[in-house]
Amino acid sequence: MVLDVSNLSVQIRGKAGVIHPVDDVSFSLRPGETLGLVGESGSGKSMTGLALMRLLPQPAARITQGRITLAGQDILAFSDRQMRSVRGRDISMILQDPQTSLNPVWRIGAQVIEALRLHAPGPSTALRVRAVELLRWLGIPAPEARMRAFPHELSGGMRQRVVGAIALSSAPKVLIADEPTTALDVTIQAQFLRLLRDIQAETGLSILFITHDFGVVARLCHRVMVMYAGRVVETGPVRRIFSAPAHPYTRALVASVPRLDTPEGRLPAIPGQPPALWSLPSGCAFAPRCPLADARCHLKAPPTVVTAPGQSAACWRPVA
Amino acid sequence: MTALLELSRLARHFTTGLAGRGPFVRALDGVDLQVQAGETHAVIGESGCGKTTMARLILNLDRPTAGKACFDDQDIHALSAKRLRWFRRDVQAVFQDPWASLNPRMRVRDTVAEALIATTSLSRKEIDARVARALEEVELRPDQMRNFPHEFSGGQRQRIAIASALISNPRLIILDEPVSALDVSIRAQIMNLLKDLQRDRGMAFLLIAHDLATTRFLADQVSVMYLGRIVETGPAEEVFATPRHPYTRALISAALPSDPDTDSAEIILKGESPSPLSVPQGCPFHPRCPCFIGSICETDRPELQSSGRSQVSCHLHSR
Repeated sequence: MVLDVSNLSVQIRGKAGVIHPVDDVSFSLRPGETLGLVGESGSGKSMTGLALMRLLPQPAARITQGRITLAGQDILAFSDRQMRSVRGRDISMILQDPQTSLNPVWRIGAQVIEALRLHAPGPSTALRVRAVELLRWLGIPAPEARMRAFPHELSGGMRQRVVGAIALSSAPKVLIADEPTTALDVTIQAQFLRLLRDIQAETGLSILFITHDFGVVARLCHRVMVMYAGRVVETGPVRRIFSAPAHPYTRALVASVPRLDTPEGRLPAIPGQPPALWSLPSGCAFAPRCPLADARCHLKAPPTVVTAPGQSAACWRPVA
Repeated sequence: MTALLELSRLARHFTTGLAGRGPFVRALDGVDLQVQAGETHAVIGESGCGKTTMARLILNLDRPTAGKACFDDQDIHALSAKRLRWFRRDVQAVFQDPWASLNPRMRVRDTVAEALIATTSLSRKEIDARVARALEEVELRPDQMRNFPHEFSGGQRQRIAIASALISNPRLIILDEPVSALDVSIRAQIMNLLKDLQRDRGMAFLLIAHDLATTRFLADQVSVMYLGRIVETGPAEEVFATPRHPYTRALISAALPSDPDTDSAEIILKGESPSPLSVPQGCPFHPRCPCFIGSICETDRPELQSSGRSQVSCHLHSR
């Protein structure tokens, strides 16, 4: 395991009281694997990503329990200084909007070189050569010329490649990708996903891919973890998640996505809406929307049970 | 049968630079499109293809450089003030982001009633009754009309936006990415609602979208745009089952699979859409085209021609 997370909880204190956007989350990531983290807004998927980087908004949010083991090291025990040397070198992140990840008044080259210098200082000319190589590796045409460009001179797809070059500049073991293709056009998204797969095949990078889009999951991920209201409701191999989901929420969500090959009739929509974290129902958070819920579901939070090899669900009435 | 909405050679060019001395941007470059009463016509394409410019022209928020947009056989951009009020009642719009499209300081009742207040002289009571009915149609409770937008979730806000479009009994609603800002579990609800409303009330939709599966679910007709032009148009089932233009094929192959076992031969296009500032000579798609057939693609701009039940502008399908 290159990354192992156990019983991670994050708490936020706000006007509405204390909420738990991440609640007792456990998972692990193998070398060379892509784990899809799927959920809707407020499910805690982005908070989980930020917690792994130890970049939670301070001082509002804090990690209240759990362990994060990255390449054998407990990073929650690290000082801020130690953590700074881990970020970018062992674990990196790309976010949805490349516009906000890049400094608008710095040239692309300077930003890539800065990232390189941080973890492997060296003479400027050598760093420059490596920066050009990195940009070429990420599929940026005419990288020497692009070094002098400002972010606004590049398209969204090219900007996301630059962000990718910075994130991968120190050959991290783990990449957290938080909706990196959501802001891109369809054909550009396809290019970027292909690039991630090629890089993974070449380097054995492990990717935690945070998304709400089952299409991206189907194309890219080996395993999937589904979150709802801060909790992991199901984990399993990608084929099982689509063909035999165990949790009623996963099943309803997969069914409600329109498909190119089934155009007619109505979509099986999930009634209601995701609960607010400050007024979670007692028992299972999905119970009010669940077609299978019985009295017990409304009273007591369900345990996580193994439903098939490599597949588990937090549900009183999982479909085996 | 004449179409409810008919665009003929519709174009909008923008000037750039100081005093307009920069290059022309051909945002929309001669588009023909028809929307029949009661049908859903989807326009798909990537950013910069001109679909939003087209919507703005149809809504009379902008004027065309050339060509004509007719609603009900009348030129939208030559309507008298009185006719324009009718037009505003007949043509409504729902936008992508229900956080931006609703005024946060207006109660739901006033937002929904706006079109009625502007175009009719109904009494307060009558307006309240109409608002209540519109809210029920989008499956909200009539008593929620006294609330403010921030008290609603994203899906509910989009329902409010749909209610305010419905209230004037429009014959055409422009849907500009109506579900892409919503959560996955909410999208299906809103798409079902749109389908039900159309079945019950028979209005036409012009759907602007980039998600192909959404389009497939809602649309009767599809037009694919690239750099300000329509490259393929036809009945939805035809375009999706047998896409003819190489760009349409690439778009459909780039659409994400609905499960990991879907066998899709991915066509990864080279490069990105060129800027509309420098549209390539000949066929605008030729620098990225996987089916490039020779110099004719670089020199001659293909026109839309019938091919099966579709029309396509590509030299592969000429003759």
